[in-house]
Amino acid sequence: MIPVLIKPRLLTVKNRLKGNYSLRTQFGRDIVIAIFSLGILWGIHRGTFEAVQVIKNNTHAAYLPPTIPLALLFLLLLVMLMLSNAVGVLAALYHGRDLDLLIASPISKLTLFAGKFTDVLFGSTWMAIVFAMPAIVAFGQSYDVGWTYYVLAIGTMLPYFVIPCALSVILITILCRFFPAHRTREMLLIMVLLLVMTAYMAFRAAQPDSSKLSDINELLRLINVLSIPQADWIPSFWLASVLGEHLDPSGRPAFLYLVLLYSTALGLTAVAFLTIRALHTEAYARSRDTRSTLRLQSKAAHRRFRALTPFLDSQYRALIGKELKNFSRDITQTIQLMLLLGLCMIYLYNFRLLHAVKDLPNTTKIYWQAFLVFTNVGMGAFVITAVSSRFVFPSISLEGQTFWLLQTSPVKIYDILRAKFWCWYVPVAGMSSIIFASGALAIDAPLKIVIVNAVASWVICYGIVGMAVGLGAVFSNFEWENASQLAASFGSLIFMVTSSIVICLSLIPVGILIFLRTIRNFGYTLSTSQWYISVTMAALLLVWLNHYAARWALRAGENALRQRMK
Amino acid sequence: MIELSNVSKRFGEFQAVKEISLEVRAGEIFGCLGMNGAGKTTTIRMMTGIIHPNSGTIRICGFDTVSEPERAKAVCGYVPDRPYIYNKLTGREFLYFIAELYRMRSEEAEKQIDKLLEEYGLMDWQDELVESYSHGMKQRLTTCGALVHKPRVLILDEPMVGLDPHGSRLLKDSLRRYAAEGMCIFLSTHSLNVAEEIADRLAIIHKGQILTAGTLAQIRSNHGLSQNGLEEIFIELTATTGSFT
Repeated sequence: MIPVLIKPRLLTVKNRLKGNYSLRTQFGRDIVIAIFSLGILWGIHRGTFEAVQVIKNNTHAAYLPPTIPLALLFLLLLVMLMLSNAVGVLAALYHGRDLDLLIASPISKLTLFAGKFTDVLFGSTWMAIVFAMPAIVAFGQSYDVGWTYYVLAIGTMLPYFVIPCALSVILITILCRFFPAHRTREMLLIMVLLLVMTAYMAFRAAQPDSSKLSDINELLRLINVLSIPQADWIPSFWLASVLGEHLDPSGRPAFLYLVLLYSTALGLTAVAFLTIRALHTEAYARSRDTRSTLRLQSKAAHRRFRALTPFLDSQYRALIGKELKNFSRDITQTIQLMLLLGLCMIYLYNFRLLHAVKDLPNTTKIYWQAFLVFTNVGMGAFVITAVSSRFVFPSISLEGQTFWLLQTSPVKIYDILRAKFWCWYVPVAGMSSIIFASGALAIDAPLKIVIVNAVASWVICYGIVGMAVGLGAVFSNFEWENASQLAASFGSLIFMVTSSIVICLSLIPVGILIFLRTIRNFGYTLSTSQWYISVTMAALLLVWLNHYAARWALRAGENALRQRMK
Repeated sequence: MIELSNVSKRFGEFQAVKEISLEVRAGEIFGCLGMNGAGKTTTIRMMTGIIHPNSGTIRICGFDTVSEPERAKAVCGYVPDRPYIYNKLTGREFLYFIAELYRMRSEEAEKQIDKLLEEYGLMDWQDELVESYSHGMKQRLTTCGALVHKPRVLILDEPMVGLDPHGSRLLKDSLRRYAAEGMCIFLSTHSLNVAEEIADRLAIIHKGQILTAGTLAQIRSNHGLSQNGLEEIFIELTATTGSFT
């Protein structure tokens, strides 16, 4: 019976591959995806390999057994898996379109649980498996271990991925059972906030003063004394210990941790099933009790929104208002926004650590700071691309089966895209200016540089958001099964590649500006007119590039949507 | 008000609509009958500008749906066969959204929205999210959305599906009243009773072509079926040209 529940999903994938695309187009897409994915996997592998080499070669500074970096990696993975599984469980067990049919059919709770559990487990973890593997292989190669390590890795990862899935089933089911449907969002938000705050406080309490870091060796010492990843009640530490002991034996009870992993996975799965058996019927009924959900004063709220946006054209106001309401009332979007904000925090935190490397010679310090400013712009732009690929790129496709409303209304397609663009540009630019400026502040850059960073972020955002909306329209898919698949589609990949190219090109004028400013510190001064001409030219190049990219993508999107009418 | 002239539509090898021509006047209810897959929805989707015909022209109040789409859409209201609307908006918010897309003045929109919510029995639900509405309520809200900007042409695709007897009666009465006020109404249905009851003229469409068109009396006399009801006529005509597609 379980395969029967999974079969529709497999058949959907098969039919999509077979029916919607010509073989040639599909083959071309597969090649692009394969090359890009291999590039990323290779990057992860090389990056991890080099990092492990540094760790191995600096044992005089701090002996860092492989268990510790592995524990850090798996802890990060665990947090991400908890969130993605929570979204998956909510969709599969409480909001799925097929649930009425399944619950009305003569299948047992065990079958329903097993089918949906398998579905969520694979759906939420396959990407984690693919991207964790090169890192695990890199560890194996660095420590030159045999094939048993790889078998062990596969054998231990399986229960490790089951744990967050089972935990999510338990937590989400309890939430849905005991809290009214309209409070689910608040409860999840509180959960995520508590998780982030606990992690932050624990992290702070566990580390030495990062401002005293003087070089890479200090960084290694810092990682070495971090206590949270080494807490022996966290499954990530069990997994890291099993693999770490195989790489570099230190006498830890690896077998015990292996038993712990399997017993916890099995135990939690059993508890998850018992929770479903006891609570699912009631929890499902409550989650469907939409009558008691949000009740708004629509008339007053509309008047307020109109009063706040007198400058907006009526059609733009309608489209932007609708987009904001849809986004803010969608719980899955909220969870993922929290996840991305968490990632932004991690980015800023790590960036601050980089700056903490002090006591460099004066000349090197100037270059180091210039490099950090440059890196801040580049990395910040990639963070914005990640945010846009998750939220902005799918915005046209998310219209889904309601797109007929826009198609039959007297609005030009280009105006629909422009409205989407402005709707997303303002918050993303606001967020990016905070990231860029915080990054600059974190490295004690002068105020001028902070401001230039913030302004540069608005310009770069213009290009990225424009491309996200435009390419989102080019690769629009209104027949999606699950909204999260849109951000992981071929189109999203093309957006990220295109966006990366534009970011790299944008870094040229940014680099010129930073270079000109840096060489002033060495006495190579330009005349005032030369300085202003150079700065203006670089700024104009940045603006033109991003404006052109956004306009090109929006036009391409418009043409693609027109083609759909033919 | 609605003019279709030699309209054809092909999807790959499949000919969905073939050389259809028809005209619907102001104040008239025109019923389009056909079996599943006959080409009714494709015709309607072309009339509303969702898809373009491969050949032929469609004019709504004189505006070509391909060359002047915004002007044609501005005078037209559309109720699709399935009420897919924004689940995360309240009923009233949805109607505001439509009113603003059609650039209605806010006072006029408020009045019209109040009137429609009252008329279609949705006033008590106006501040609830659409996701909590039943299928029939969504259908009624979609109808309100099609009427909020006071269109001169109303196009409905299977409008009675999902409506309870009260809702169905309400819609039929409303359609008659709108037509009496001068609105041009085009509806597709496979419910012969509905067509017989409210349509001034009818067309039977089959395999993408119009088999016959006119008033019920004209159709009877054209085909020598003077004693038959619409059901017998429909079965007779569609049976001679083939079964389900």
